[in-house]
Amino acid sequence: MIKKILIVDDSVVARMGLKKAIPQNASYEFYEACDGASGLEQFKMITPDVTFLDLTMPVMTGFQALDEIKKIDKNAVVIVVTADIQKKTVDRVLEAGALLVISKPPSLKEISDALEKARKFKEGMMKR
Amino acid sequence: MNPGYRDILTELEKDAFKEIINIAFGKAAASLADIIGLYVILSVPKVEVLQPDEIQHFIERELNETKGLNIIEQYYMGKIRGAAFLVLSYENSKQLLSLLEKDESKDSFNFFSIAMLEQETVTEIGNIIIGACVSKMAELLKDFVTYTPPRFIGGKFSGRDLPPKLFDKETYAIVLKTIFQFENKNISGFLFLVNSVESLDWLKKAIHDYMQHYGYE
Repeated sequence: MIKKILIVDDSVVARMGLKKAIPQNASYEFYEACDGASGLEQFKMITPDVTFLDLTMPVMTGFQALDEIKKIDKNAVVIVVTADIQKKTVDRVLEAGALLVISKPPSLKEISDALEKARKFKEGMMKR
Repeated sequence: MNPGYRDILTELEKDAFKEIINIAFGKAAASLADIIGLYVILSVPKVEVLQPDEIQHFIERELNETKGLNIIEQYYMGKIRGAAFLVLSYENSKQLLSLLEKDESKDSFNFFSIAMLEQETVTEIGNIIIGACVSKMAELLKDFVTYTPPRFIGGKFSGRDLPPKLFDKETYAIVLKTIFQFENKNISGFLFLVNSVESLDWLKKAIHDYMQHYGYE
């Protein structure tokens, strides 16, 4: 079950958009951070079920934040939402443990599908 | 010009515009990676609003920090119009050329001087980056732009070289800048766009339409 969702992006508009794109029929708790470092701090404090992570951010990039999150919890569900759509970037973050990569600006369907994939992944983890 | 010109866009509108540019720069990096196989490390773009009479000074300040620059300049015209500059140091241009040099191209050195080949290469890279970036920006703002051919400028650039009609006193200049770096190659440069906006109402509406379309409002 997904309850806590952390959104890490330096753009307030991107965070707002993502939040609104998430289906409102579930009682999610939203948490936000504006750079990789504060995103990592939030992650440690709240242990989110899903983290939406941008890559190009000040203070600490999403690449670094992803690595740190995976050191804390290798099963953490991280969905990268990025403008950096180079193949090497996608390969790199998937290799680092992101569940999937969505290019910006994300569509409602992409977000909804991503959450469904996250839910299935978490269910699979619990059955183990 | 209204003394509050720096606030012509609200913080939210600036943030949305920055996000549009972030997506546009991302598209440019992907195009470059696809075409010439170089991986680009993107940085957070900066957005600044300037008065038209500040533009010349701004460009000279940005471009004169380093001596020996190679600049690709290209103009675009649509509802949003302006100038794009891709700036590389002379040394970085040479390094870039050596990365792209293929065995089969060696023969061509007999016909072109190294300097000419360097110019052609850097101009083509500039054309790819600027075209991908500006076209994506225009697409997200539901605009359509046409381009002048790219122009190579070696050495120094003066803001006085800008066409006088590009930024008259009734326009706003929204400057967008990003630094890009080629991974493991010690090559970096920057790209900046100086947008002249004749119709602020149009730009604001285009930004809000974008925000609405993607659920931001």
